[in-house]
Amino acid sequence: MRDIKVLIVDDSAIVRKIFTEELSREPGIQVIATAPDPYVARDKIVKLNPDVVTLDIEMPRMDGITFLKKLMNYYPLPVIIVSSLTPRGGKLALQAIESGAVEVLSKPGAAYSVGDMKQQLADKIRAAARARVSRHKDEYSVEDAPVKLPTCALTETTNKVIAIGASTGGTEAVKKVLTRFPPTIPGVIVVQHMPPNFTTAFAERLNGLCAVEVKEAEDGDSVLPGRALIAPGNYHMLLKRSGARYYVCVKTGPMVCHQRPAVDVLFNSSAQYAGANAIGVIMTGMGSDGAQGLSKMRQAGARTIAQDEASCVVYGMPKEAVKMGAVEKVVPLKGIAQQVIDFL
Amino acid sequence: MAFNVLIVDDSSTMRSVIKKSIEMSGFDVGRFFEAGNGREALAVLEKDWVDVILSDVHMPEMDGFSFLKALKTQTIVSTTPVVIVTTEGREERLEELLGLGARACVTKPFRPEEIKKILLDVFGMDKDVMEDKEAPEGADF
Repeated sequence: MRDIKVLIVDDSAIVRKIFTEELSREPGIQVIATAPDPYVARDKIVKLNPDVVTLDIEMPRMDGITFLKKLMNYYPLPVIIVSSLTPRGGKLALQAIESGAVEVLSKPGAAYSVGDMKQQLADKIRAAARARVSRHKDEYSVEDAPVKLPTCALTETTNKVIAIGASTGGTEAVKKVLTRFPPTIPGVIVVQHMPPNFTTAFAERLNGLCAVEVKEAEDGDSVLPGRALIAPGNYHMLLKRSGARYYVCVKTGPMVCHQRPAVDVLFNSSAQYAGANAIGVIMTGMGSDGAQGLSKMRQAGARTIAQDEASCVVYGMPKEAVKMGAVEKVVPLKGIAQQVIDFL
Repeated sequence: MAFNVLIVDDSSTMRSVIKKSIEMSGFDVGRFFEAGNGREALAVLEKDWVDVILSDVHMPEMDGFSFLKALKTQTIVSTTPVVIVTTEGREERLEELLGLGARACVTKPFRPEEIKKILLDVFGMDKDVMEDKEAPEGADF
C-alpha cells in the first residue's frame, strides 16, 4: 500500500515542525506539505492532493469552521481537527465534526504527554485515511426525528442498560442514535473515543438536541431511564450494580486498545453486571476496541448490534466484532435506534 | 497565499478593469472567475471556491440586490465577502446594499488604491503582513 499523504495546517511553526518530525518516523505516513494558513492550505490541497489534512481550528484572522465547510464542499477529504483542550476548543471541535471533519486531536501538553499524542496522531491519520467523506450536506433532515413508539412498550424495562461504543465518525453516529431515543428509553452508557473537554462539549451539545438527558459521566452517576452518560475523555467508564441500581464507575487506568476511555472496558463491565439485561451497540471506528467486550456481552446473553459497513465512516470496530461472532444484528445507522427499541 | 476572486459585472470591459486593478494592487490572486450577472455568479460559487466577490449592482437577469439576498440562503458561501462596485451614487441605495450584507461599496470610477484598501480590510490584513508573507520559521509560536 502506498504512503498516506498528509498536509498539516497550523499557524504555529512549532506545531508544524513537531508533527512533521514525529510523523516522519511513522511507517506508511508521509507529510507532503505544511501550511500556516487556509489560503496556502487550499493551494497545496489543489496542487498536491493529500489523503488527510490536519487542521488547527483556532487560527488567528480566520474562521476555521468556514474554511472547513468550504473545504468539505469543494474538495471533500478526511480532515483531523487539532484543537486546544479548552472549553472553547471543545465546542469548536464539535462544530467542526458537524461540518464534516472526521477526527479530533488535542494539542500536545495538558492532559496528554507527547508520547500519547504521537501515537494518537498516527492512529488518527490512519483511521482518517480510510474514512469515507463526501461533499458535506447540512444535517437535520426530517428522518432525524426521534423514533416514535408506544410508551407502554418500555414500562417493564427499567432494569435494562444500553451500552454504545464508537470512534472515528462516532460523534455524528452517536448523535443520530441518541436523538432518536424517546425520553422513556432505559439508561444509556456511551464510550466515544475523544479527548477530555471535547467529551464535555459533546455531552452538552447532545443534551440540547436529544429528548433524553445527556450528561458527561461522573464517578457514581446512576444509570437511569431517560438518561445517557458519556464517558469523559482520558477516563475509563465501567458499569456497576448495587442492589437494583446501576451506576457507573469512572476511573483512570492503563489504556486499552490505545484508548481511554475504551469500549472494551465498558462492554466487559456491562457483560459482568448487566448480563442478559444489556444491549450492546458497536459503531463506526478504526481498530478493534469493543469487539472482545461485545463478544463477552453476547456470551452473557445480551442482545448485540453492529453498524453496517455502508453507513460507517470507518468500518473497523464493527467488522472485528462481526468477525468474532459478537454481533447478533448488523444494521445501517438510521435503523440502530429502532433496532435497540425492538430488542427491549 | 493566493486568493480566488469572482468578478460579477455585465460589462466584460468593466470586469477586465476590475481585474487589472486587483492585479495592480499587488494581491496574490490564485484564480479569477467572471460572471455576467448574479445568476451566473451563483453557478460559479456552486463549483468553485471563491474568497472574495466584487459585484456590480445593475445587471440583467439577477441584479446585485437579488444576488446578495440569494447568497444569504446558501449555507456554504453565505460568508463569502462581497464588495459592491457600482455607478449607483444614492446613499440610501448603498446603505441598503450594506444592509443586505455587502462588506463595502466602491463607486465607479474608482482608483486601484481603493480596491486595495478594501481587500486588505476584507482579509483582515495590514500592509506588513502582505510584505512579509513568509514569516521566519519559529517566529510565530
